Amino acid sequence: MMQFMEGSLAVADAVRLCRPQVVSAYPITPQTHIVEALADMVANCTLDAEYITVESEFSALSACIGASAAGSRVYSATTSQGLALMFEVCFNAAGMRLPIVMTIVNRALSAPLSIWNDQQDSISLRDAGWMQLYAEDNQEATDLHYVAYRVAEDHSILLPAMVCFDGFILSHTYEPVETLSQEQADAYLPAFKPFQKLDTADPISFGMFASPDYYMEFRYEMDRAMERAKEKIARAGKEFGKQFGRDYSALVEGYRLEDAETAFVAMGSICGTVKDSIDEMRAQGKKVGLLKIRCYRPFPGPEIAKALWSDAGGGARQEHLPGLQGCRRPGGEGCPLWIRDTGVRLHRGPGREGPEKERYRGHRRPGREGRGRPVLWPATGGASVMVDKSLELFDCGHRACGGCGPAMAARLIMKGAGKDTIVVSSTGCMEVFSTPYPETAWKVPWIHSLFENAAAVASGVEASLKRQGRSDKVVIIGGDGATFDIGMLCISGAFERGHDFTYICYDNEAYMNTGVQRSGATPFAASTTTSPAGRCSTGNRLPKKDMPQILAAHGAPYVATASIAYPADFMQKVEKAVNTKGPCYVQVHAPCCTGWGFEGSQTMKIGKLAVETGLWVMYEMTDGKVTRVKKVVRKPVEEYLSTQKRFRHLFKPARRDAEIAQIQASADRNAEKYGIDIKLKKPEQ
Amino acid sequence: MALNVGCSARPGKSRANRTGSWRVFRPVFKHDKCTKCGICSLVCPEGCIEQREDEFFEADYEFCKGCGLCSDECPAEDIVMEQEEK
Repeated sequence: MMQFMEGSLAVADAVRLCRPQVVSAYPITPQTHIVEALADMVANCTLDAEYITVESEFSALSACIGASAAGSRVYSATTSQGLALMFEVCFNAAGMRLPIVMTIVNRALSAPLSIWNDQQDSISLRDAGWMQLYAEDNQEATDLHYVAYRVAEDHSILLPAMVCFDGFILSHTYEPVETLSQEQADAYLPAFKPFQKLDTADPISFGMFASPDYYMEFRYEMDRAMERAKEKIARAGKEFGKQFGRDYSALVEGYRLEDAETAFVAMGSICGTVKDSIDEMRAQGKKVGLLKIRCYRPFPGPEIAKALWSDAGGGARQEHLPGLQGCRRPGGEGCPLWIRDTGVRLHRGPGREGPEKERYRGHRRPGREGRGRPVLWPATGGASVMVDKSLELFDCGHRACGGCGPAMAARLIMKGAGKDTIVVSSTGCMEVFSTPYPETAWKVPWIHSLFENAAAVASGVEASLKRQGRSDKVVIIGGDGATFDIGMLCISGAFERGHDFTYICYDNEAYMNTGVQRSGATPFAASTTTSPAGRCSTGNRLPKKDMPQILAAHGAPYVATASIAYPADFMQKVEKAVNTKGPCYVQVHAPCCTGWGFEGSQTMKIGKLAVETGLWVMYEMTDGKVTRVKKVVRKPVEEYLSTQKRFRHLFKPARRDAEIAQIQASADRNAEKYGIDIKLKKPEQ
Repeated sequence: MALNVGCSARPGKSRANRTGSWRVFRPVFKHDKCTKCGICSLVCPEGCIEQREDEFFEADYEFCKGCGLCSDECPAEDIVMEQEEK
């Protein structure tokens, strides 16, 4: 049906007809009309999808990763700064081979701040492993979404795709657009069939860590998929033409090129303007033509060469046009679409034709060639079903150090959570020692995306499960660096949105995977490699951040602290958390023999001493109130400090009474705040 | 080399990595004063201590790294660490 529509609304309509099951997006001009329209469709039941109102673009795409891996068709849209904020997530989504489709409403990057059109945003991600299609008008922008989904989800491709169209010039402009009916859309785009998914019936580890030899092979596989995508795009474009009369089989499209002496090479909305200019110039007798690039990734090198040399009859001079704002590449050559030697000799990379030896470099460039108040969730009062704690769901053969506290934590978490659990892991020691490709230690579905996005990925997983009516539990496992520091944004957003998951922080009080650097969880006076004790330093100057309180303030229904030194207590808390609806948080003290400096056989003893000295308090909070506390007969903090190299400077070469007294005072404060002291009866006189 | 799409793998693969070769000290389960409490099995970071049919516990030396946690935590002091002979 022909309709006179704003570009954004036409795109939103096409997206609706593609039936995404999870939409995750963050508002940014000029993308807003699309995501507002989709939210409106969800609110009015014309789109049957979970809509996640994430707290950033970084989380928007991270949630798409989780939802896609869990088996849903997903959608997002962004532009400019938002796409830049997604930078590492883009690479990750492609590497994980998740067929995400995202609309890029092309806009300039700051500074100076500009909301207007420019294609530098998507061009900057040309080597991220995403297919990139550029639309000339709103009809094409609309139609390319169907093509993008169809190709991305093809099991021989499995690459994400960006459909790019120019901000304001197209997105906010009204044009006549032929829209499809749901029947037509369904006939063209079949229902999503995931190649593989997070499934407790068939557990797979996703996003493992790979050594350089494997990494190179994976990049090569991506590049081959990108090569195959050329033909698939052409075929899908042709099929679209057959069904609806608009053929998109050409990766590049010539306009009056036949006898052109000069050819303009351009992509995006400017192509329309150029065509008009060419008509005028031709009327003046000038032999000019246009080569429009529709598909920029995979890069159509030979197609461009053919169009400009063969089709144009022996070689046309090239003029390259950027998007409308003339976005030069600082320090580069000309505009983003500057194709020197038509990509045949220069700028070689994956997806472009290069000599075979270049194909084996690791750094392949694939295809280059809500808001609201905290919600208090009703606590269900914990475990409704007892899990079988004899099950071993964390396997032998992992590469943790002997006596590793976090490895113990992993085993105990799985015993407490049970087999019907999907684990989302942040980057860190546990992730690396448990999943060097292909040696996974996880017997449950497990996914790792990035360092700081586990809570956002889990949000997507949870939304997808909800949409599918699945009841699997979602457990996030992150180290203290991922939790206290770099992941704070995603965690805050996810807890505020109230997803049903359990976040477990294994707290070993520093960045252990990278070599014992200070984190927000490092205790006062501990020596780390970035807060070393020295002649004028007594180690870390700052106290430990109070994460449990922060998350309780988000409205978490259940928050607990635990220690691997008290395994039964820890398992019970994990079990209670995963069976409590809403976002729950468990922080487990997990001594690290290597980072803290003690023998691996002492891990339990050190963990117990932390509790017995009052430096680590074990408690439970229900709906923000402390409900249960582990009481102890307290020992002096020295007994704990003197067992570890990280506190050695407090005793040698000279005893530092002031620092020890300060640490004792913090233990005393803990004791008073939480009431952990067992009052011994005075001996009778 | 056949790769799994998206760098994924199915369970069981970590067992290819026989971490028992890391061991310097071997926990010897005496089964003398053992009360079969199972703490050794619970605290093992490898999860490689299993209960036998006679209900006594034994480490799988293919994977035991010899950290000594089981020995240190055994309430009956029935697990002793002995240096591996090369």
